[in-house]
Amino acid sequence: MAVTVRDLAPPPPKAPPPDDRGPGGPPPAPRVTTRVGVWLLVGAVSLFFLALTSALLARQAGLDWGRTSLPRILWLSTAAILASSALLEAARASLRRDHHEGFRRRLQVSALLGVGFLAAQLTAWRTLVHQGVHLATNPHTSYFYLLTGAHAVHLLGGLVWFGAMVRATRRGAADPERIGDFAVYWHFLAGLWVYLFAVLFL
Amino acid sequence: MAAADLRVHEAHRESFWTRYVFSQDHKVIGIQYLLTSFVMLLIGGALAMAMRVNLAWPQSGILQADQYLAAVSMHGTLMVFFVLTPALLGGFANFLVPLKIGARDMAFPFINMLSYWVFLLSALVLLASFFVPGGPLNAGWTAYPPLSALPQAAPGSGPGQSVWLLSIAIFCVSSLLGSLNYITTILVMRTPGMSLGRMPLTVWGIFLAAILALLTFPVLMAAGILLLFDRHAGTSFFVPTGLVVGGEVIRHTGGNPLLWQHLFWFFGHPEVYIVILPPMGIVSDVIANFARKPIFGYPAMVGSMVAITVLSFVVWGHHMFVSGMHPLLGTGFAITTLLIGTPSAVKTFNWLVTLWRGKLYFSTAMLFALGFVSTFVAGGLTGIFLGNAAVDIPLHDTFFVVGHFHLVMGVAALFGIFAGTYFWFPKMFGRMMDERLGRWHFWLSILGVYGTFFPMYYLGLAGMHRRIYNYQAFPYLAKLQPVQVFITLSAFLIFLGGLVFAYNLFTSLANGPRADRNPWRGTTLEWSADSPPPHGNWHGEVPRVYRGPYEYSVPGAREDYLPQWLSPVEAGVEVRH
Repeated sequence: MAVTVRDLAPPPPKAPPPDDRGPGGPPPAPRVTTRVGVWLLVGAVSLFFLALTSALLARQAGLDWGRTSLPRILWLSTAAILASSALLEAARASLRRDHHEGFRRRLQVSALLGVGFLAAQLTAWRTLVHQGVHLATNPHTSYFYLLTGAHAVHLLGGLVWFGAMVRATRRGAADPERIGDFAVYWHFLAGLWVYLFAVLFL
Repeated sequence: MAAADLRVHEAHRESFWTRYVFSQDHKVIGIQYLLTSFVMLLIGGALAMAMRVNLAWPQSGILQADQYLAAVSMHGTLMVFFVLTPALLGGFANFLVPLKIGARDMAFPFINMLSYWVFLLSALVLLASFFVPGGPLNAGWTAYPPLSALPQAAPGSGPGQSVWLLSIAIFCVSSLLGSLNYITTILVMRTPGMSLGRMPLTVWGIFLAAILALLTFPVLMAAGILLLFDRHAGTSFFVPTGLVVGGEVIRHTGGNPLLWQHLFWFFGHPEVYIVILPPMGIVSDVIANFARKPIFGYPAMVGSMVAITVLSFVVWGHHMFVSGMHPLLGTGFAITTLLIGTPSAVKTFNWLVTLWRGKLYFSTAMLFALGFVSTFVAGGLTGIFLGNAAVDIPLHDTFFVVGHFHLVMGVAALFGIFAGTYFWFPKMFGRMMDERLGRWHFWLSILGVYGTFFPMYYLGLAGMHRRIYNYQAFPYLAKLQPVQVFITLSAFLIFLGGLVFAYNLFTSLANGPRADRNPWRGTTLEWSADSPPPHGNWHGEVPRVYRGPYEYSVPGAREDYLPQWLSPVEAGVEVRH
């Protein structure tokens, strides 16, 4: 029997991806799946911080804004998180060149710099508390503690992920795709910190 | 085929717990979401009945003033966050997305399971607020400060309000986990041939609603955290200077309660589209099926849903016309609000034209789909009035608005959920629902909702305040009591219809006639799977897609429809140039 032209519309271009896990097994998820998920996560977290910082910008116009001087150590934390991001990229470059030893070392140092960032943030909070600057001292400090705290929580989540990755590479498993998924989130956190730093202090 | 069947059973001998409770199967998770939503619907409905008794017969004293406020607030919270949202972006999204796009499961099955359990936790936390000192929140589902920010402001502003904020924060996490999954799944897991232009409109509706949820729930989360800080850490994000509560001056200074309204409605307005876009899709699928016609103007249907999604980000200010804003800003919000009526009208037109000269079959699913169109119009038209700031200002705090949003958003979305339940119940459970009881459910519901919400327009125009415990304190409102009695009696009909539905649901689960694969002669991929589909959805290979989703009444086809999965050779249609 003949066939309509319209019906032929999608000539099945190529064979479907091999599905040897069979029916009922885990779904064959394409490799980009996690990457798409990470980007969506980045989008959602961005909106969260955009909401908070737009509230800050609206409040900044108020007479009671107040202004806390910048704890010096925040420059150090900024340097740490940027260096961590750069080293992660260097690690990925080593992996691409199949230089596994360099990859592992750079990955570990990058993770340590992440921990260092968190330690610097903690020190900044302690310094301020010692100076008698608290959450409710004035609107600026309220937003300062809130934004840095929320960023630290997201970074802590990133560090857990980072730790899992470092552990996996010690066992010799280094999947460039999985590292790339993580790198999207990690670079985002670094960029987010620079943005928050600018909004809070510039 | 036999070998494949065998493998399914060999590979998946799971315990009761991993199969039905801590399941990572999208279908089980979808049903869990849906059934939880129905339980919450019963509670939210019961609260509405208590409020209605109080409004019809204020002297009965069934609710104290603070209990009345708690009932209003919990009714709204339950219906929006714990019925409409999870039934659609949880129940139907989970059950339908993989089946309709030809995937074996969601992109992240574990995260999917987590999203349900986090959702259940948020629901239990919310219900716990019935048992804290002072009872549940009093500030309404929108939780405006300063009422919601100062624990001493009302009985429900104490622990009940904190528990509410906690519950909503947990809900935001669950929503994020869910929408991440739906978007990723739709983007990367479609079967070969399932281009975006061939996706059923239900999938489009869920996809766009998930994008809205992904981008707006974080804003609600941010607002909630600010409010928690104001309540418990002494900050002043929302509490203005110089408030006096109970004779005492509040120590907070300089906050702005309008900030909460901006953040809340930046989420809150997209939220109403989160609960209306999926029903728009469901209704399109049901109407095309029972009219046996292709949906009219598929590209316009998709385009209008995209337009609604984009516009919904810039209309939130129309909730705040009475809060005071710069006239220019108000005009801007009025214009965007009226603009969003255009794609809504395009959709309504297309549904009506799809019905035009179709072979209509009035199944219960079809009746509820038509009910959706009807209430969407009856509620939507008054939205055009309210979109004008000048008209909104006198009407905003009256029952006019209550009638408007219940018809266009609450009832319409609920009718979409009912239409979807009757339509996909055979696929979910392998049994048919009782159509006779279904008709009782529908007619009780449609008479009930029009009897309830239409007179509210009249009440609103007559000046009936919408947040008032005892309107009989005002002589000009006391005269309106007979209307309130009529509304309450009509509301009882809706609740009665709901009980019929619950009875139908349980008896059909146990004794409904067995359903075959494709009881409605549908064209989309879920109808090519068993009823109910096995874990992994299809024995053997996943079907591929050869055509659009609405090939009904195709000239020359052997039957009157061509399913998406039928290859051209199998379809065997004559060439006609």
